[in-house]
Amino acid sequence: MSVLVRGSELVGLPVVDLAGDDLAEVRDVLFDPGAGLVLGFTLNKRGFLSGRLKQVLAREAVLAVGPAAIMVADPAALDHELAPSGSGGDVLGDRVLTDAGVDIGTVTDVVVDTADGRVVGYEIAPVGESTGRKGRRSYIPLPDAGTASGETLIVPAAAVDYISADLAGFGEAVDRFRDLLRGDGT
Amino acid sequence: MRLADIHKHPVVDLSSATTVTHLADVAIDATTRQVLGFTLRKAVDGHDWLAWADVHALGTDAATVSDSQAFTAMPDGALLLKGSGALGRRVLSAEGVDVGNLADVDVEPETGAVITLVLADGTTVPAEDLLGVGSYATVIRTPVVPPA
Repeated sequence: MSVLVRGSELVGLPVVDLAGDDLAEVRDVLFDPGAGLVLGFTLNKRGFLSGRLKQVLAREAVLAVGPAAIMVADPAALDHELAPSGSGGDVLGDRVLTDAGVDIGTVTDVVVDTADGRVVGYEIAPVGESTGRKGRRSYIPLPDAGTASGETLIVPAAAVDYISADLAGFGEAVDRFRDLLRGDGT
Repeated sequence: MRLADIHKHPVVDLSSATTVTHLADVAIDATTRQVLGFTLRKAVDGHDWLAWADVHALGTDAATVSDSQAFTAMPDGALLLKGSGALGRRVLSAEGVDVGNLADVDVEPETGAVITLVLADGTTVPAEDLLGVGSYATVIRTPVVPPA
Protein backbone atom coordinates (compact mmCIF):
# COMPACT_ATOMS: atom_id res chain seq x y z
CA MET A 1 0.00 0.00 0.00
CA SER A 2 1.54 3.25 -1.13
CA VAL A 3 0.38 6.38 0.63
CA LEU A 4 2.14 9.73 0.70
CA VAL A 5 2.38 11.46 4.05
CA ARG A 6 4.23 14.48 5.35
CA GLY A 7 7.12 13.58 7.62
CA SER A 8 5.66 15.74 10.38
CA GLU A 9 2.48 13.64 10.35
CA LEU A 10 4.51 10.62 11.49
CA VAL A 11 5.61 12.36 14.68
CA GLY A 12 3.60 11.07 17.61
CA LEU A 13 2.45 7.87 15.90
CA PRO A 14 2.62 4.83 18.20
CA VAL A 15 5.10 2.05 17.39
CA VAL A 16 3.09 -1.17 17.77
CA ASP A 17 4.30 -4.77 17.47
CA LEU A 18 2.26 -7.61 16.00
CA ALA A 19 1.36 -8.83 19.49
CA GLY A 20 -0.58 -5.58 19.86
CA ASP A 21 1.64 -3.86 22.43
CA ASP A 22 2.71 -0.24 21.99
CA LEU A 23 6.44 0.05 22.44
CA ALA A 24 7.16 3.72 21.81
CA GLU A 25 6.06 6.68 19.78
CA VAL A 26 7.79 8.60 17.04
CA ARG A 27 9.76 11.59 18.29
CA ASP A 28 11.32 12.60 14.99
CA VAL A 29 12.00 11.31 11.51
CA LEU A 30 15.64 10.66 10.55
CA PHE A 31 16.13 11.48 6.91
CA ASP A 32 19.05 11.14 4.49
CA PRO A 33 18.53 13.86 1.85
CA GLY A 34 21.39 12.56 -0.31
CA ALA A 35 19.81 9.13 -0.70
CA GLY A 36 16.23 10.38 -0.54
CA LEU A 37 15.46 7.90 2.21
CA VAL A 38 13.96 7.83 5.65
CA LEU A 39 16.67 6.23 7.79
CA GLY A 40 14.48 5.63 10.77
CA PHE A 41 12.88 7.26 13.73
CA THR A 42 13.95 8.58 17.09
CA LEU A 43 11.53 7.57 19.81
CA ASN A 44 9.77 8.75 22.90
CA LYS A 45 8.36 6.57 25.61
CA ARG A 46 4.60 6.20 25.44
CA GLY A 47 2.40 8.43 27.51
CA PHE A 48 1.91 12.05 28.35
CA LEU A 49 5.13 13.98 29.04
CA SER A 50 7.22 10.83 28.69
CA GLY A 51 10.91 11.10 28.05
CA ARG A 52 13.09 10.19 25.14
CA LEU A 53 14.06 6.57 24.48
CA LYS A 54 17.72 5.81 23.80
CA GLN A 55 16.74 3.26 21.19
CA VAL A 56 16.06 4.23 17.61
CA LEU A 57 13.88 2.45 15.09
CA ALA A 58 15.73 1.73 11.86
CA ARG A 59 13.69 1.73 8.66
CA GLU A 60 14.72 -1.90 7.96
CA ALA A 61 12.98 -2.98 11.17
CA VAL A 62 9.68 -1.35 10.18
CA LEU A 63 7.00 -3.65 8.77
CA ALA A 64 4.63 -0.90 7.76
CA VAL A 65 3.96 2.79 8.21
CA GLY A 66 0.23 3.24 8.53
CA PRO A 67 -2.00 6.19 9.27
CA ALA A 68 -2.69 4.87 12.79
CA ALA A 69 0.59 3.23 13.77
CA ILE A 70 4.09 2.23 12.75
CA MET A 71 4.17 -1.56 12.82
CA VAL A 72 7.14 -3.70 13.85
CA ALA A 73 7.43 -7.47 14.33
CA ASP A 74 8.37 -7.52 18.01
CA PRO A 75 10.18 -5.48 20.70
CA ALA A 76 13.56 -6.59 19.30
CA ALA A 77 12.87 -4.26 16.35
CA LEU A 78 14.03 -1.36 18.51
CA ASP A 79 17.48 -2.89 18.93
CA HIS A 80 18.59 -2.53 15.31
CA GLU A 81 21.59 -0.36 14.61
CA LEU A 82 20.88 2.66 12.50
CA ALA A 83 22.58 2.58 9.11
CA PRO A 84 25.35 5.19 9.13
CA SER A 85 24.49 8.22 7.09
CA GLY A 86 26.85 10.59 5.33
CA SER A 87 24.62 13.60 5.32
CA GLY A 88 22.84 14.94 8.33
CA GLY A 89 19.12 14.75 8.70
CA ASP A 90 17.52 18.15 8.99
CA VAL A 91 16.42 19.76 5.73
CA LEU A 92 13.67 21.92 7.17
CA GLY A 93 14.26 25.55 6.28
CA ASP A 94 16.82 24.69 3.56
CA ARG A 95 16.62 26.49 0.22
CA VAL A 96 15.60 24.53 -2.86
CA LEU A 97 17.44 25.58 -6.03
CA THR A 98 16.97 24.12 -9.51
CA ASP A 99 20.03 23.03 -11.47
CA ALA A 100 19.14 25.92 -13.81
CA GLY A 101 19.76 28.30 -10.93
CA VAL A 102 16.21 29.23 -9.94
CA ASP A 103 15.35 29.58 -6.26
CA ILE A 104 12.04 27.82 -5.68
CA GLY A 105 11.54 28.24 -1.95
CA THR A 106 12.33 26.73 1.42
CA VAL A 107 11.57 23.25 2.68
CA THR A 108 8.76 23.09 5.24
CA ASP A 109 8.32 19.31 5.30
CA VAL A 110 9.30 16.12 3.48
CA VAL A 111 6.82 13.89 1.66
CA VAL A 112 7.35 10.20 2.41
CA ASP A 113 6.04 7.21 0.48
CA THR A 114 4.96 4.93 3.32
CA ALA A 115 5.33 1.80 1.18
CA ASP A 116 9.13 1.91 1.05
CA GLY A 117 10.23 4.87 3.18
CA ARG A 118 11.49 6.84 0.20
CA VAL A 119 11.23 10.61 0.26
CA VAL A 120 9.43 11.47 -2.98
CA GLY A 121 9.26 15.22 -2.58
CA TYR A 122 9.48 18.30 -0.45
CA GLU A 123 6.75 20.50 0.84
CA ILE A 124 7.97 24.02 0.19
CA ALA A 125 7.01 27.55 1.01
CA PRO A 126 7.45 29.22 -2.39
CA VAL A 127 9.71 32.25 -2.79
CA GLY A 128 7.93 35.50 -2.15
CA GLU A 129 5.27 33.86 -0.04
CA SER A 130 4.89 34.29 3.68
CA THR A 131 6.81 31.64 5.54
CA GLY A 132 4.30 31.75 8.39
CA ARG A 133 2.17 28.73 9.24
CA LYS A 134 -0.70 30.04 7.13
CA GLY A 135 1.44 30.50 4.03
CA ARG A 136 0.53 28.58 0.90
CA ARG A 137 2.41 25.31 0.48
CA SER A 138 3.49 23.55 -2.68
CA TYR A 139 4.89 20.09 -3.30
CA ILE A 140 7.89 19.50 -5.54
CA PRO A 141 8.82 15.99 -6.71
CA LEU A 142 12.32 14.58 -6.35
CA PRO A 143 14.20 12.22 -8.66
CA ASP A 144 14.19 8.66 -7.29
CA ALA A 145 17.99 8.77 -7.09
CA GLY A 146 17.86 11.46 -4.42
CA THR A 147 19.33 14.92 -4.66
CA ALA A 148 22.56 16.66 -3.91
CA SER A 149 22.36 18.55 -0.68
CA GLY A 150 24.80 20.96 0.81
CA GLU A 151 24.03 24.54 1.61
CA THR A 152 21.03 24.21 -0.70
CA LEU A 153 19.05 21.29 -2.12
CA ILE A 154 19.41 20.93 -5.88
CA VAL A 155 16.50 19.63 -7.97
CA PRO A 156 16.28 19.24 -11.77
CA ALA A 157 14.78 22.30 -13.49
CA ALA A 158 12.03 20.09 -14.97
CA ALA A 159 10.69 19.44 -11.46
CA VAL A 160 9.16 22.92 -11.50
CA ASP A 161 6.63 21.77 -14.11
CA TYR A 162 5.41 19.09 -11.71
CA ILE A 163 4.84 21.21 -8.62
CA SER A 164 1.48 20.37 -7.04
CA ALA A 165 -0.67 22.62 -4.93
CA ASP A 166 -1.94 19.78 -2.76
CA LEU A 167 -0.80 16.38 -1.56
CA ALA A 168 -3.79 14.51 -3.03
CA GLY A 169 -2.58 14.72 -6.62
CA PHE A 170 1.10 14.73 -5.79
CA GLY A 171 1.69 10.98 -6.11
CA GLU A 172 0.74 11.07 -9.76
CA ALA A 173 2.95 14.13 -10.34
CA VAL A 174 5.91 12.27 -8.82
CA ASP A 175 5.30 9.30 -11.11
CA ARG A 176 5.05 11.49 -14.22
CA PHE A 177 8.16 13.46 -13.26
CA ARG A 178 10.20 10.31 -12.71
CA ASP A 179 8.93 8.82 -15.97
CA LEU A 180 10.16 11.99 -17.69
CA LEU A 181 13.62 11.66 -16.13
CA ARG A 182 13.86 8.02 -17.16
CA GLY A 183 12.71 8.92 -20.71
CA ASP A 184 15.58 11.39 -20.95
CA GLY A 185 17.99 8.63 -20.08
CA THR A 186 19.04 10.23 -16.82
CA MET B 1 -21.06 -18.62 19.71
CA ARG B 2 -20.48 -14.94 20.49
CA LEU B 3 -18.44 -14.19 23.60
CA ALA B 4 -19.42 -10.59 24.39
CA ASP B 5 -22.47 -11.80 26.37
CA ILE B 6 -20.70 -14.74 28.01
CA HIS B 7 -21.13 -13.20 31.48
CA LYS B 8 -24.86 -13.98 31.26
CA HIS B 9 -24.13 -17.74 31.20
CA PRO B 10 -24.85 -19.69 34.40
CA VAL B 11 -22.53 -22.61 35.17
CA VAL B 12 -24.56 -25.75 35.97
CA ASP B 13 -23.02 -28.67 37.90
CA LEU B 14 -24.44 -31.81 36.23
CA SER B 15 -23.79 -34.00 39.30
CA SER B 16 -26.04 -31.86 41.48
CA ALA B 17 -28.12 -30.19 38.76
CA THR B 18 -27.63 -26.80 40.37
CA THR B 19 -26.32 -23.47 39.18
CA VAL B 20 -23.06 -23.08 41.09
CA THR B 21 -21.83 -19.78 39.63
CA HIS B 22 -21.83 -17.63 36.49
CA LEU B 23 -19.16 -17.04 33.89
CA ALA B 24 -17.50 -13.64 34.20
CA ASP B 25 -14.90 -13.25 31.48
CA VAL B 26 -13.24 -15.37 28.82
CA ALA B 27 -9.54 -15.87 28.15
CA ILE B 28 -8.26 -16.61 24.67
CA ASP B 29 -4.82 -17.53 23.37
CA ALA B 30 -4.01 -15.30 20.40
CA THR B 31 -1.36 -17.75 19.17
CA THR B 32 -3.42 -20.94 19.09
CA ARG B 33 -6.67 -18.96 18.50
CA GLN B 34 -8.35 -21.03 21.17
CA VAL B 35 -10.46 -20.34 24.24
CA LEU B 36 -8.33 -21.08 27.31
CA GLY B 37 -11.09 -20.87 29.87
CA PHE B 38 -13.37 -18.61 31.86
CA THR B 39 -13.20 -16.60 35.02
CA LEU B 40 -16.14 -16.99 37.39
CA ARG B 41 -18.38 -14.30 38.81
CA LYS B 42 -18.34 -16.08 42.19
CA ALA B 43 -15.52 -18.40 43.24
CA VAL B 44 -16.41 -22.06 43.91
CA ASP B 45 -14.51 -23.50 46.89
CA GLY B 46 -11.97 -20.73 46.44
CA HIS B 47 -11.45 -21.49 42.76
CA ASP B 48 -12.27 -18.77 40.25
CA TRP B 49 -11.26 -20.39 36.96
CA LEU B 50 -12.94 -22.88 34.63
CA ALA B 51 -10.46 -24.24 32.07
CA TRP B 52 -11.82 -25.04 28.61
CA ALA B 53 -10.80 -28.70 29.06
CA ASP B 54 -13.00 -28.94 32.17
CA VAL B 55 -16.11 -27.59 30.46
CA HIS B 56 -18.58 -30.40 29.76
CA ALA B 57 -20.55 -28.33 27.29
CA LEU B 58 -20.97 -24.70 26.33
CA GLY B 59 -24.56 -24.24 25.25
CA THR B 60 -26.59 -21.26 24.14
CA ASP B 61 -28.04 -20.79 27.64
CA ALA B 62 -25.54 -22.30 30.07
CA ALA B 63 -22.14 -23.86 30.53
CA THR B 64 -22.17 -27.28 32.18
CA VAL B 65 -19.51 -29.07 34.23
CA SER B 66 -19.41 -32.70 35.41
CA ASP B 67 -18.76 -31.87 39.04
CA SER B 68 -17.18 -29.25 41.28
CA GLN B 69 -13.70 -30.64 40.57
CA ALA B 70 -13.86 -28.66 37.31
CA PHE B 71 -12.91 -25.40 39.01
CA THR B 72 -9.22 -24.55 39.35
CA ALA B 73 -6.89 -21.55 39.53
CA MET B 74 -6.37 -19.23 36.62
CA PRO B 75 -3.06 -19.87 34.82
CA ASP B 76 -0.51 -17.08 34.51
CA GLY B 77 -0.56 -15.08 31.33
CA ALA B 78 -4.13 -15.84 30.35
CA LEU B 79 -5.52 -12.91 28.40
CA LEU B 80 -9.03 -11.89 29.39
CA LEU B 81 -11.10 -10.40 26.59
CA LYS B 82 -12.89 -7.91 28.82
CA GLY B 83 -10.40 -7.69 31.67
CA SER B 84 -7.59 -6.72 29.30
CA GLY B 85 -9.82 -4.20 27.57
CA ALA B 86 -9.47 -5.98 24.22
CA LEU B 87 -13.24 -5.99 23.65
CA GLY B 88 -14.26 -2.53 22.55
CA ARG B 89 -10.71 -1.45 21.80
CA ARG B 90 -9.01 -0.63 18.52
CA VAL B 91 -8.03 -3.16 15.90
CA LEU B 92 -4.99 -2.41 13.73
CA SER B 93 -4.03 -4.09 10.50
CA ALA B 94 -0.40 -5.19 10.13
CA GLU B 95 -0.07 -2.21 7.77
CA GLY B 96 -0.80 0.17 10.62
CA VAL B 97 -4.35 1.04 9.60
CA ASP B 98 -7.01 1.45 12.28
CA VAL B 99 -9.83 -0.80 11.01
CA GLY B 100 -12.30 -0.23 13.85
CA ASN B 101 -13.04 -1.52 17.31
CA LEU B 102 -13.39 -5.12 18.42
CA ALA B 103 -17.06 -5.76 19.17
CA ASP B 104 -17.18 -9.51 19.65
CA VAL B 105 -15.41 -12.83 19.17
CA ASP B 106 -17.17 -15.81 17.62
CA VAL B 107 -16.03 -19.26 18.75
CA GLU B 108 -16.90 -22.83 17.81
CA PRO B 109 -18.77 -24.07 20.96
CA GLU B 110 -17.62 -27.70 20.47
CA THR B 111 -13.89 -27.04 20.27
CA GLY B 112 -13.38 -23.56 21.68
CA ALA B 113 -11.62 -22.52 18.48
CA VAL B 114 -11.92 -18.84 17.57
CA ILE B 115 -13.74 -18.58 14.22
CA THR B 116 -14.00 -14.87 13.59
CA LEU B 117 -13.43 -11.49 15.17
CA VAL B 118 -16.37 -9.13 14.79
CA LEU B 119 -15.68 -5.41 14.41
CA ALA B 120 -18.00 -2.66 15.56
CA ASP B 121 -19.27 -2.01 12.02
CA GLY B 122 -20.16 -5.69 11.57
CA THR B 123 -17.08 -6.62 9.55
CA THR B 124 -15.83 -10.11 10.37
CA VAL B 125 -12.17 -11.09 10.35
CA PRO B 126 -11.26 -14.80 10.07
CA ALA B 127 -9.32 -16.15 13.03
CA GLU B 128 -6.32 -17.11 10.89
CA ASP B 129 -5.75 -13.39 10.29
CA LEU B 130 -5.44 -12.71 14.03
CA LEU B 131 -1.83 -11.84 14.85
CA GLY B 132 -1.96 -10.63 18.42
CA VAL B 133 -4.02 -9.18 21.23
CA GLY B 134 -1.93 -6.72 23.18
CA SER B 135 -2.05 -3.86 25.62
CA TYR B 136 -2.56 -1.28 22.87
CA ALA B 137 -4.50 -3.02 20.12
CA THR B 138 -5.64 -6.23 18.52
CA VAL B 139 -3.56 -6.77 15.37
CA ILE B 140 -4.85 -8.53 12.27
CA ARG B 141 -3.11 -9.55 9.10
CA THR B 142 -5.12 -7.95 6.33
CA PRO B 143 -6.75 -4.59 5.88
CA VAL B 144 -10.42 -5.48 5.96
CA VAL B 145 -13.01 -3.99 3.64
CA PRO B 146 -16.12 -2.81 5.50
CA PRO B 147 -19.41 -4.26 4.28
CA ALA B 148 -20.90 -2.19 1.45
